[in-house]
Amino acid sequence: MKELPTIAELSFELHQGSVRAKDVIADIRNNVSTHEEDVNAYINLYLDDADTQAGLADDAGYLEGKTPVLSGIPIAIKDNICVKGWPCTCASKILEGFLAPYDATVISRLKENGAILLGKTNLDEFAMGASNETSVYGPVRNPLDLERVPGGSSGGSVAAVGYGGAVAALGSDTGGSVRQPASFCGLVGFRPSYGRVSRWGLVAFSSSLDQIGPIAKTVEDAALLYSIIAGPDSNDSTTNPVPPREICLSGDVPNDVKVGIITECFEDLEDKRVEDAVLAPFQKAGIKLQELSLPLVRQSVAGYYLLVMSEVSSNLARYDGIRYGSRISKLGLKETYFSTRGQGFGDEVTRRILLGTFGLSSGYIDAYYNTALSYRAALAEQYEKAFEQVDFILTPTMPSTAFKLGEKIADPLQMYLADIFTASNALAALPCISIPAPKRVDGLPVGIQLTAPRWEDSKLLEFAHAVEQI
Amino acid sequence: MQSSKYEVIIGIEVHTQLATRSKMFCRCEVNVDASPNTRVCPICLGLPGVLPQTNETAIELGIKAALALGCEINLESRWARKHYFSPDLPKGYQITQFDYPLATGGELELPGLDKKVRIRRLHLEEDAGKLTHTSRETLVDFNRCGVPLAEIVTEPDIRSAEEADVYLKELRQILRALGVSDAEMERGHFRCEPNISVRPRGQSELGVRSEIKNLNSFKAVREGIERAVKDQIKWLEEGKEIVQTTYLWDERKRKLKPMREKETAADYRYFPEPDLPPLILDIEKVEGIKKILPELPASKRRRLLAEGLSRQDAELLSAEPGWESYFLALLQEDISVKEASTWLLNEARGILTERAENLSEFRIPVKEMASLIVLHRRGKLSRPAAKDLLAAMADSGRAAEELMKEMDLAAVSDEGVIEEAAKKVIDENPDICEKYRKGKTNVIGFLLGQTMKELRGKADPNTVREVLTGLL
Amino acid sequence: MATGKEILKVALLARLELTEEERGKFGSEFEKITAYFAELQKMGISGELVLPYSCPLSSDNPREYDIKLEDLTRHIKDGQVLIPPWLA
Repeated sequence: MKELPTIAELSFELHQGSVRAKDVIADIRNNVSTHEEDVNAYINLYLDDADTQAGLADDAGYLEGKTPVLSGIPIAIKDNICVKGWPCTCASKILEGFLAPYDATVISRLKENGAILLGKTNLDEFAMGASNETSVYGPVRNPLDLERVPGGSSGGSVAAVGYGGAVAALGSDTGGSVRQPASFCGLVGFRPSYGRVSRWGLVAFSSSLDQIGPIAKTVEDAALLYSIIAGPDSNDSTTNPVPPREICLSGDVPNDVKVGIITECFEDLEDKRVEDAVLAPFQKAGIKLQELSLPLVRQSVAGYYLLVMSEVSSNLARYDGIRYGSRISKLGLKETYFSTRGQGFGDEVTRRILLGTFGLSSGYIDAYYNTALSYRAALAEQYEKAFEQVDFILTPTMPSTAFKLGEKIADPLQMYLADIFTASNALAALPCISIPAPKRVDGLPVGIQLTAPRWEDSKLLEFAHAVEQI
Repeated sequence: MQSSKYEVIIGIEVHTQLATRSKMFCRCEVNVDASPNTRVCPICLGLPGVLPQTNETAIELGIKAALALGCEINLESRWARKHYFSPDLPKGYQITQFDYPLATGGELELPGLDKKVRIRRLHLEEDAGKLTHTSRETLVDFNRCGVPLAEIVTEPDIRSAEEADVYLKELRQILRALGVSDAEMERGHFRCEPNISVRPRGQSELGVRSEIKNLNSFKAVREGIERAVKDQIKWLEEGKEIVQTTYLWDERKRKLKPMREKETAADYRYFPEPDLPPLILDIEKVEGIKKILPELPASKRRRLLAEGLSRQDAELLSAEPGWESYFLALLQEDISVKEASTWLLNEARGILTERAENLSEFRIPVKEMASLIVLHRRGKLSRPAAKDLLAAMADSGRAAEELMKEMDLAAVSDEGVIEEAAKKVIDENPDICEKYRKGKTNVIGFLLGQTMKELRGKADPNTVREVLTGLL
Repeated sequence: MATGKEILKVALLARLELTEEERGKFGSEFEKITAYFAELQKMGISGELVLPYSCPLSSDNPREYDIKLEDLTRHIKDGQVLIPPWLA
């Protein structure tokens, strides 16, 4: 594969005139023809359109200060984010035939800044999964080892960047869906604080937790994309009306930085080599790590799934084939509902809708959904207390390196446990990022996860960038 | 129909469409007359990836209505999702308010009944689309989907169909007076769902409820309630077990049709709406709205009563802004409250009622009406003549003086002429006069009538009576 | 704790038609997964995490949206969405 530049490198080269956007598209085309069939990162790819746009960007020229910041930069978009005029499938049968009639806010912002959108990437159906094995368009494979999963649910976005099918991508993260695949494929995946990035146009999975996040090769790239897509949006009432602070990437580790490690997370870690890979850069830089106990983190998978499944059952109630998508018509209306939904959703989605409906039903809602809400508040409080002692919290992103396809998919509970490190900070609405550890295990990438206090996204990106340079 | 053996307990839920220009959670125009599915957008169609955007005016109208009903405004209220599957509900849930409604604890005074109905709560929500059913298919129009509604729920304080009727009419008046809603029942702006239970008097436990939907007129509400009460009493007498049921009012057959239990037993799975933060209201804003509330019907009635109007007149004027403004305009023309009451609210209104016309079709301009009243006041028109003139003016819309001259209605005030007519009548009715002299004084009425006839109604009856008695 | 039988009730509430096989499979998973949640329930925690800003309000100015139902679905009749009748 032809290695693609980072956004920062490409932008520089375009301004220099040493490369043209069309050249990059040509490289992408080559990489796609080599790898796409095996990896299956894309659901829909529009290389000819991208090439045309690249040509236009080249013709317009690249002038510092005048040209939009992302001009000539090709980005892939996870197929649960609406791009006007393009299908938005969410890797599900039930949305077959649906063309998004509007742009998500993040898409408008990318377009305004000149980005070239390559196409829509594969994902776990409706973003539910940690391995990208539940897509109706077939699983995505890890470009580093085709027998292994890329992680999920933004597996397609990560794999595309991974094999050089895109310079960067957008994914969505609810309980780890950007960070986990980034960890498995050796890339950077950033999950902003809940409320930083507009969800307008993101097909809702769990409304209290969903966030759109960038996937890229470097923290610098992720930070750039974040700064473009983040900020208040009147279309999304849950966005913070206060815009994020500007990011200053110095690359320097602050002298007095305090980093904590959650003892409960490291206790549960089976593979010590993962632990070593995660801790190595900090030891190298002489950053002292403080041990923190956050006991509620142990129940984070339970709390996460309880909450998420209930919201899923609600958010997916609109998929009935009546106004859009595929409809499996029967003689009567009731029968049509049952058949359309029964056949339109895959197993994992069905499982979650069933459990979620159960969790909200009368007689059970207190024991289930309301319990999850209370748990969430208590967990957030524990994190807040922890941040009184430290600036950042460090854990592995995943308990292991990429597992093999088919290894966990038969046991849903096993799959849920993969979220053990990425669910708790998402529940607490905190910004968190996964960066690749310098050392791999058995040749496979390991993800370092850093978490910051709520709203401190800029500070987190700055620190992550510094750690990346170690 | 009211059995004294039983007590009827009624609570009413009203859904009223708020008079906003756009929908509750999107900026589509509220216009149910528009061609089907032309006032829709991704939000109200429940497309993937959409999020609600709350209508500021809907909140203000909700606050207005709540204040007028004497409710306590909850400065923090929250949105909730109410789930059920229906083709007219695109998201598969309705955004409403559940645990934390906009307002609670108010009351409404029922005019003429010396009674107050407590308001349990007022909250805001969005409407569903419109379904048209045939046996072969169903059609859905989403224009109405997302229109803002206020739901107003009473405590079960109402005790009869009549009280329910008065409650609904008063509530409607208030909503219209405030500009909160047009509240036209027939257009679906004002949907009433009573729930009724009956218990033996003296029993503290409430009876089993019957709920009625699809009542589209005040008449239907009364009939529906009366029907439900009748049925419940019958069942209690028969010792039958009553099951909580929801009924649909069948307008054509004028009957209650029970809805199938499956349709009514719903688990709505309410939970807090994650796409909307809590609605936090500024106390100053609420106080500001309170300050500019227009005069409410109840206080208007009290004021008019204090000015000497009858209860009936006070109620009419406070109910009908048209009549009120005409009335006030008359007062501006130096007509007294009593005169305006008699000639406008009594006589003129009587004519309109007879002709099945309403005030908008009334042809007499205020100044001419005033003119007629003044002519009568000055004795230039007898009362009967004035009535004739009024009718003629109502027909033609012409000026009082002009028409009076043309119809030759001017009062006869010449005593001589009156005397002459009186004498004639006396001469023609000797036995009646004999009866009068013998003590049967009430026969004067007949003689008066005859004399007035002679005079073609153009004299003041009191004067004529005086002359007659004088002569007899 | 949920029993496999409740799958049917829940499937009805969620309008999901399940095959016999699916019912069995989901049923057994159900029990395992809900048992997993039991630990959390036993903890008896309470609290609430609310968004730290209030519901933003939008001005009541109507806007026309260029969207045609025909572009979303082919089941249209007389401008309305056509659906099968509700059978008794």
